[in-house]
Amino acid sequence: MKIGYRLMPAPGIDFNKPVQFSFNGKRYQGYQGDTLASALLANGVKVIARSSKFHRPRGIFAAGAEEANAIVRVENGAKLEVNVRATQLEIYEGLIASSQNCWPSVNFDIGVINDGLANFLPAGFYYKTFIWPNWHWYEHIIRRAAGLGRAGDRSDEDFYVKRNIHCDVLIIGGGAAGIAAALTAAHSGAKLILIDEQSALGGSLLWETGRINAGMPMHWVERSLKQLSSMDNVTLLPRTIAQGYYEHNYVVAQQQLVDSSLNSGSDSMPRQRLWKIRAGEVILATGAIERPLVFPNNDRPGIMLASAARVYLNRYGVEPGPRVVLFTNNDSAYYTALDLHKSGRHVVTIIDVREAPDASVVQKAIYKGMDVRHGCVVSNTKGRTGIRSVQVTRLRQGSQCLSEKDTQTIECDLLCMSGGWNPAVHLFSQAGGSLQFDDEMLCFVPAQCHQRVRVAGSANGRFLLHECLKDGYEQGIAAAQAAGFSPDSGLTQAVIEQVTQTPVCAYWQTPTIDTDETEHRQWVDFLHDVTVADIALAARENFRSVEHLKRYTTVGMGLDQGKTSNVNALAIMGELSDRTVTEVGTTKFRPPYQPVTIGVLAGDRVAVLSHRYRRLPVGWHSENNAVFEDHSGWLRPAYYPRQDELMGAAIRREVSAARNGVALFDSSSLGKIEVRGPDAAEFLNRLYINNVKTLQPGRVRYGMMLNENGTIMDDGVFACLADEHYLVMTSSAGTQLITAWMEEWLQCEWPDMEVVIVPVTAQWATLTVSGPKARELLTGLGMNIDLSQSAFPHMSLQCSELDGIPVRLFRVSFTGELSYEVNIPCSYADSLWRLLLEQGQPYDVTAIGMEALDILRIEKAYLEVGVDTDADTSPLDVGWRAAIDRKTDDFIGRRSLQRQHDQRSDRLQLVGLKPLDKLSHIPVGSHVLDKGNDAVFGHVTSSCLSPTLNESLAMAMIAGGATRKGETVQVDIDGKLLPAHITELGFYDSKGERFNG
Amino acid sequence: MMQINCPCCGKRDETEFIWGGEANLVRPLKPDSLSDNEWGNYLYIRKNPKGLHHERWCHMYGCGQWFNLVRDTVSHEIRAVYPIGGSVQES
Repeated sequence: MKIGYRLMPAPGIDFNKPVQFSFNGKRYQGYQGDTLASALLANGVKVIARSSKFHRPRGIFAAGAEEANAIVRVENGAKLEVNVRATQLEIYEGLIASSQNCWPSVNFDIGVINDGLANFLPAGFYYKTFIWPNWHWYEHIIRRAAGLGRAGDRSDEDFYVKRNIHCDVLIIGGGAAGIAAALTAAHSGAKLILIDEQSALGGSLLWETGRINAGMPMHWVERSLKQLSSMDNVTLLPRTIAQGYYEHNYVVAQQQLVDSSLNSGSDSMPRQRLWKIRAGEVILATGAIERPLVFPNNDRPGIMLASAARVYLNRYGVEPGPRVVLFTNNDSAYYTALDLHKSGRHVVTIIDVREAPDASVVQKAIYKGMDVRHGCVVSNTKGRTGIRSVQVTRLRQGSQCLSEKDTQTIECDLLCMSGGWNPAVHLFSQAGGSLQFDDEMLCFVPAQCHQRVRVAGSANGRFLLHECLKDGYEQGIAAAQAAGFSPDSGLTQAVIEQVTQTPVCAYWQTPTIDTDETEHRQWVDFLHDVTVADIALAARENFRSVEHLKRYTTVGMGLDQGKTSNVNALAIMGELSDRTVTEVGTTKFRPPYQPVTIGVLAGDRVAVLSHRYRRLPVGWHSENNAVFEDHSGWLRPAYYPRQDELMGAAIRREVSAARNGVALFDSSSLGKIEVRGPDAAEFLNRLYINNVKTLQPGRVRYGMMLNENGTIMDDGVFACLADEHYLVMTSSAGTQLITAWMEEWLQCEWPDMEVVIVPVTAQWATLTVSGPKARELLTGLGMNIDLSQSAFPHMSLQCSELDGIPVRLFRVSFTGELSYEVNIPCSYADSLWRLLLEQGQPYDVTAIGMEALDILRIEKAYLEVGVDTDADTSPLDVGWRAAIDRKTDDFIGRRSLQRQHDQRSDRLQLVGLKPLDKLSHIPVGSHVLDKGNDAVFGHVTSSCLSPTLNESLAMAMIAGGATRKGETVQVDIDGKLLPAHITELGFYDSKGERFNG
Repeated sequence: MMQINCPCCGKRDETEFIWGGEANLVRPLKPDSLSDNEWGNYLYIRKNPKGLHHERWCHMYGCGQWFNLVRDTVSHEIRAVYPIGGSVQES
């Protein structure tokens, strides 16, 4: 039965389930099983999109992933998805799709003006044209005109999942070869996964009309799938695209989870799943992609791949026509012709480039009475929004030109073309496999690969059905054996009728009849509007390498990555430069095979899970209005505003508390590493620039570690807890780095040293009590430690207990005030914090955050590694020359400091900086200019407005700064120059009387 | 993504490991006695073969142990895994 363009029944369509959808605002009806492309064709919609450069009207040209014309946008708002191929989108109730890259509408698009200007828009035109006065003048216009769909601006509401899986045999592609391979491999007992990108397994058998076991191919597919799905060792994954093939047989695939009857993901159902598959053996049964032929105006709506027409006819019951012309250089278009003829009512003409094909299918077409014209080509087409006629011209023996005299016009509604087949070698190439050009079949076929991979069926150049199945069975057996299984050789193999064929004939482009090239443009890459003339231009300009050809003309780039255009482009380039395709070579395929959703790559690592913070053990902060900020992966209180207090006021109050009373600061994120063993002192002595071996138990020293290049990695204090037992404190950012650094030296360079390294950052919390009243506060705590200056001087430590809980008390200072760092097991940190606040009430103890601490340390001009220093800063640049000279032993990085460059006096050196106008703030990052000239010779690394000194302070790295103290320089603040003095490092209490008090 | 056979933990995905560059470099015992050139060679000059490369890796997000392996830089095939300071035959 036939209604409109529909032919019922059709194997891929459930005509009992109509589906309503809209395209460009108009409502249409399709059926369950339809793709957007098949549904639109069935509704007679011809123009689907506009091409990217010339805005030419374009229709549906393929039936799968290779579609380069019918690219649409789907849904709106948070569900918006752009650049979706209509050939791959299963329709669902309420689907909203529309054309993109056109305005105001797909049928009347202003951008088509580019088409008329085509003579002025050849390949690379913007490289040549938009260079005066400079590219940036034009950039925003070009950028807006470039590309296809506009991405949405809302976040994706759907969610995505990932799964890791291992298998013995992975088969990619569920067509004839893939299913045959799965049957033999699965019967061996190997754990097998079969994936296929389509909603139904079967590949070309979903529409193939040849016979398997004297029955319809679909019957064989159904029986085979029934058998496979009943086996426990088999996983079948339809709607799953293998996107990347990486080292060691690691394949990443993207599965569409939502059934097409649903819109997209729901609250409980993820939209897509990313499969990360580690396979013992891989069989690529990815099939082949038909090539278009290259002839004038071959891009019109209604021009389609011959195989695609067959897919729409046989699988979806969509009958195009009724007047069909086929243009081919090989046998496969004849199968389309026969199927069209069989469905009735069709007037079919076959234009074959070949002079005398005699394959069985050709004879059959002639026998059926079709108009078959050998040695002819299509020399032009007519019909702007849908093909109306073709010009057929007879090829003259030995002549390079076509003649008007040999030309005839045939009216038609559909032009099917077949330029031969390309095996889908993308994944094989991604796996590292090499390709070779087969001069018989005129395509690249897989050659060598070091991975455990096999290629079966038409992906391997076995295009005929009987070859395909045989290859599948054999590769399945081979893969199972390689994976260590014994295949069951008793499996009954399907029987296929063998056919004879006539080889494909090389026909890469069409000679033009007259000289108006614009009217005779021959498209090679539909997606990017690359024509033969563009390739010819590239050849004239000597872009000989395929990689250059690709980038200059954009052939094979973008969404489809040249699935239909690459080989044609290479062959044309070869003809133009007198080289074979093998000599021209091919570009390497890279993942992903098709465009991939960013969401599925992110999986659940979105929103709060995209970056997981480390949190301090003290819960009090969040209960007491702390404002948290990310500091090297830790969420730390920046300040604690009281009621309506503004940030600046809170920070000044906190600084004042530390300077005048007592402050409490949570330093728990400080890195803590215990280093123990007979060689601990010697080990640390090799890493620190300081002398470690002279450090007595109970004493603490400030030190730095360098990398072997002599630049500062990290700083912090280290303490000798007891003989052979040290505690290394690192910066909050440095804890993992330094632990790994120590382990690497110990394991790789000095394995004989008896040292054990234990990172204890997460075990010990550090609460800092700092300020003139710190001693009084701690005295009342009951730690049984004599806190007097003589018994417990600066840079020393005591171990004790507090209510039976071990406590390590360090007297060190990062604020410049009398300071104690109380280390206590983490689980008690919150209790101790609250206890200190309670005990400190009489002294108005104040919790302070990172902002106040930063000001306190800048007032003291204490450097912060990674802020004041960078990857080029050595200890000599920050005033540590004397300390290094005092040490006689070697340490990591020492030798590098002796190099001429490291000893230069004009290196960037850390200095203080004070503006002449005392209250002018100096932003971090400002350039420092030499007085009187514009040369930049330094930059500001830290700065603050000091509440204590009531003036602006800064630290800066300045060329030769150490010898330039007192000089006046200019600081460039957004173009305004601010004069400032270079000063000593140390603004407040530079003699250190306060922390020694 | 490669799969690396950690001597302690067995086969694990590459993402659990960190790469440590060329294996079997020895830090000079007396750096002070080296010329700038010799020191520069130790610091910077590395093999970059097309083919077999001895390199060290650490199972950072597993057991934390360093070890050496031999990797084919063309195919990423791992030919052998052996301990630090050991030789290929011991693996």
